[in-house]
Amino acid sequence: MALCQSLAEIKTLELIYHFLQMKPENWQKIKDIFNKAIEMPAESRQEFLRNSCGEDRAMLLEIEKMLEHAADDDTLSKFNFLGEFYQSQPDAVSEPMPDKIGKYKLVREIGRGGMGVVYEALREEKEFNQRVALKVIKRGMDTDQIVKRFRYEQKILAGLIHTNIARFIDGGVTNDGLPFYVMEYIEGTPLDKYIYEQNPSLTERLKIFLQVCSAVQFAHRNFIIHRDLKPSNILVADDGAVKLLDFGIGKILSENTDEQEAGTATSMGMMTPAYASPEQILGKRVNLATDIYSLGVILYELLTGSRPFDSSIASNQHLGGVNPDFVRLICETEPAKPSTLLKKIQKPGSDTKENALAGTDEVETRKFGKSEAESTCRQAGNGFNQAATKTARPLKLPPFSASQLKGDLDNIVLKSLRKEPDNRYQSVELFAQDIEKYLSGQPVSARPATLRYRTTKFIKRNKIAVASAALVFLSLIAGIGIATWQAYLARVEREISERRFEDVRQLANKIVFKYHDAIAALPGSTETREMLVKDAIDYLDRLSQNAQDRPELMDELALSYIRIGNVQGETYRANLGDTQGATESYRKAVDILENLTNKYPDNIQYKRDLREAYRSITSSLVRQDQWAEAKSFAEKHYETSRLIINSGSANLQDEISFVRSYQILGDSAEFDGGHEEAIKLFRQCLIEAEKLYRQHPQDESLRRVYTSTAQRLGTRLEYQADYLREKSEADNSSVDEEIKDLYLEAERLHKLSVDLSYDLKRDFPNNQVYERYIAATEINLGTALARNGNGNEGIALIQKSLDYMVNASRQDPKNAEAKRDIAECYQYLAYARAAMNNFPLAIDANKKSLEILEKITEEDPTNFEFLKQAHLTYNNLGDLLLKQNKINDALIYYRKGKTFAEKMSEINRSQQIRVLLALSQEKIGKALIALYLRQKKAETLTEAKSMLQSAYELFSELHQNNQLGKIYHYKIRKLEADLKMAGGIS
Amino acid sequence: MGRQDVTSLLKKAQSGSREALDLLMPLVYQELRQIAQSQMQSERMNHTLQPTALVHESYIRLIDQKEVDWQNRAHFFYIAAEMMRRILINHANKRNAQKRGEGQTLINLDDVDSNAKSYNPVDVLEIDQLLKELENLDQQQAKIVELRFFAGLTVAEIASVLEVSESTVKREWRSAKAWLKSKLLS
Repeated sequence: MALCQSLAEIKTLELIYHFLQMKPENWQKIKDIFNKAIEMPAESRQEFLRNSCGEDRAMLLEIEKMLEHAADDDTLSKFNFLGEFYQSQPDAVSEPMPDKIGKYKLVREIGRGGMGVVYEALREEKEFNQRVALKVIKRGMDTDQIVKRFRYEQKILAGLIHTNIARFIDGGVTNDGLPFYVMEYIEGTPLDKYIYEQNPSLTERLKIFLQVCSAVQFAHRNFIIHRDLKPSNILVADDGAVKLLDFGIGKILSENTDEQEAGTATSMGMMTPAYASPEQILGKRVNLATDIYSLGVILYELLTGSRPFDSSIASNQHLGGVNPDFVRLICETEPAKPSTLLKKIQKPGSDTKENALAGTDEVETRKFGKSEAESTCRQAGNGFNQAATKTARPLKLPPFSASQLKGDLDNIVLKSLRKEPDNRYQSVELFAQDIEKYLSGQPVSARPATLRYRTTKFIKRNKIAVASAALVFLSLIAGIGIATWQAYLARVEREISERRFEDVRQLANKIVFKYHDAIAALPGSTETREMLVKDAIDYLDRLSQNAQDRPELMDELALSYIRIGNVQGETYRANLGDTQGATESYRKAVDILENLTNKYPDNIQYKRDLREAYRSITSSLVRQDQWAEAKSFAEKHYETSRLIINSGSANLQDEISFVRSYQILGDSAEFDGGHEEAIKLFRQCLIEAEKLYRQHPQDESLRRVYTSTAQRLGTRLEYQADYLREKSEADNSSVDEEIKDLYLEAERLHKLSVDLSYDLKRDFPNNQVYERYIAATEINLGTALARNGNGNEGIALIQKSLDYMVNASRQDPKNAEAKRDIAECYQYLAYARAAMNNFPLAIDANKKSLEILEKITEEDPTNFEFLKQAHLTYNNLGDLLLKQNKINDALIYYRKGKTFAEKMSEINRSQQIRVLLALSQEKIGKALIALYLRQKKAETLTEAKSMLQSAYELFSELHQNNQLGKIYHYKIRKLEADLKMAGGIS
Repeated sequence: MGRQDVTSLLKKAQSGSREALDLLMPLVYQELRQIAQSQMQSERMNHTLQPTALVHESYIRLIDQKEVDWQNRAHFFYIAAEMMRRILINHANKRNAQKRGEGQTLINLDDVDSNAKSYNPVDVLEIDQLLKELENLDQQQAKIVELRFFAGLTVAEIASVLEVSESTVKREWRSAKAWLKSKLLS
């Protein structure tokens, strides 16, 4: 009773005090006492104050209050202003409301904020007037892009019809060029205000939340992510019905331009820090789990009246960035359990929120309450209202106790707030189900967080994320890998049914090819690319099922298959080394186009595309050693090319393609106890190319064909010489003259290709590829010169190419392919040095090559091109060492080569790889025999025999299965002889 | 008007010319507003703009630093703090007049000296009201608050502007702060 009296007394005093207004002299006295008191230890203050103030209770009260606040550690030293404040600066403020925007007549302004202005508007129709909310996006955002995206999204958003979603009606551009959109006008109260005013029961709150879930769930099923869920985007009508605003708008406003799509930045602009998920804060791609997180924050707020984290520091201090402290808070700190927090707030004695929350710095101190000065918020919507609440409002305690939240509700909320998107509810449906289960008293699925869930894992992952420079790659995984990519695929299907092929086509190209190219050069990206390619193929397959009646789309699909085939198997580019997969893709293209050309025999474009498909599949089959089939497609290519040039509507490119068809035939000519067939075809091609070149000396692609044919023919002549030498060693025939002639002709051809490359470079100085032409052809010429006795000249050329490659790699240090090029240059240097009989320098060059290859294979252990080259170089180095009689050294490298071959055959059982393994075994076997002859150790011979035997068996097996070309006939014969010899030794 | 002219206006104002001061004030006001707006256009939303930074930038833009001494500089900030306050108040009033749905201009009272743990958004109009009250009680103390809040001056700078000792500034600031907070947060 006494207490009550004194409280009442104080209140009265306070009032009187306020009315009387403090006088300056009083203030001086107050300051004096305050300054003295604050220096004192707390225990002696009370007495000092009583003595100093005497009967002046008002003064005492004033000073006590000041001391209380001075004790607070923080100070009022600096103001920070929410950016929003400036964004609605005068230019917007002073602008009068236009009468009309588009076909909408503006009635009044409802709200205004960082994103622009919201109006109530009317759409005047003959029959009725439709009341709408119209939002104009302010200048400064990327207007063109937004308008474009609106156009794209409009149909989808308009189709999003659900009782709990404010309907999207229209989008457009104002006369001033500002984008605007129109939504259903909703009469209602923002959720936070509603909760504050109505203070509903726990069950009522959860039921409201379920309505929100139902809306989000529906949108997710339509692959629309909200991205900016927050109480102010949720309106509650008087009848308790919930409406969500601004679905799909977040995406439109925050997506970067097309060029940046694969990039890392997600615009900070379109999220509200208080409700943003870790992935949003980190600027990663958002997905369905992002909305689930925001729903979690909303539920947290519904249950406790507070948010899990203090977002007021989100953008403080750091002009132009997110506050790193805030990032840490969102990404690392576990929120307090809702029950714990509510308990703290409800603790008797802590009648103000400030007190209740003292010491919990991770807890948001804002509340739902709003200033009375505020008018009801109607349709404020996305970005139009920042977290805007006022401090000095009395806290309204929820009408339920903390213990009611304990257990299930704690678990449910915390599950939705996990840092790792994967650890949250997998869908809104599951989230809602748990709440329904709670309401009906069934056990819920959410469990308390175990250590496994804790943030360390998330942080660890993200550290790696930041450390790895492959940001594009990461955003790819984050963005397409999971839900978004699935959503894309699903949307693709829907688009097809709507016959919106244009969009679909764009989607295909962008997703598949742009992203692939962006990540192709990065080490370690093979797995992701495989995934990407797999998805892309699925997608193309689905498309082709749906597009049968659309020839032009089928044609384009075929081209896409060709491109994806290139990605899968194209050599000399960052590729997946999946030649078999490439062949399959090419085959699909061939099938489609053969069909089309049959159906539309007069369409020359389909024939041309078919020709390209034949070309692609031929070279892919050649790489698979599928000679017979390769040849048949090469013949088809030739036939189709011939048909085209005879069709009467052929152009120069068609003629060039016809010339090239000889080259393709040459490529598909199997080694057949010599290279004669191929050489014959390449010669034919060279003659035709030269003929055409004389008529059209300027045509770029013709000159490329001419150059590459010269290089091919030169190289084949060298192979033929090598083959003849090897054969002559076996049967002791004398072919020296023949070999010499072949090498000399090869040199002339390489010289021609070098000259042609220089011409191309001169005439097309902007095309970087010709620099590479020069480097590549000069390596061939250099090696040929070294073979033909002009060693120094040859070395100089190779060295020049090497310099070029080193420089190119320096320009693009992350590109593993560029490093591979350097390794290859060293390999040719080794060939040239060996041809000059300078074995130590040849060995040296090979070792340099291996240094690089070992590094890049370590970085990208599944890149077959790298592995194969490393294997080849180990063998070459072993050969050289063997020639130097360094048998043990040779064995070391042969064995390393074998390890690589084994590694490859573990991943890929193709015959190509098994041949490599057999070659390694053969080489090791032979070296061991040489070693045995020197050391006479029985176990050496045993191992040698077993190696040779394995090689023999492997070759024979492959031969029997008809997988091997005739090229290995003599290999088998030789191995038989070797084994016999080894048997004879023992 | 070039920087030279503004600088000489500042000097004249400092030596007591009322006329120079009257000319100078709108210049500073406009400049501050302009900077605020241009920053707002180049930045995305949700970014905090600091009045302190704005005031400093306006100083660099308007005043030829070679021509002024520290007293001139201090005087400039004295003026700028007042202008900054006016800008904020005008804006807040305008917004209130619009009967906007969501809140008022929010300011975070945040600490520069210690890493403050609580961030309480405060209404700029409320601050202004309290400052006015304080002006009636103690003009100098109110000025200290204004210089600290709206121009971000350090204790030493305030001491030199007002020609008082640093310990006085500290003491006055401490009590003003405690008083403001007791009013704002109760």
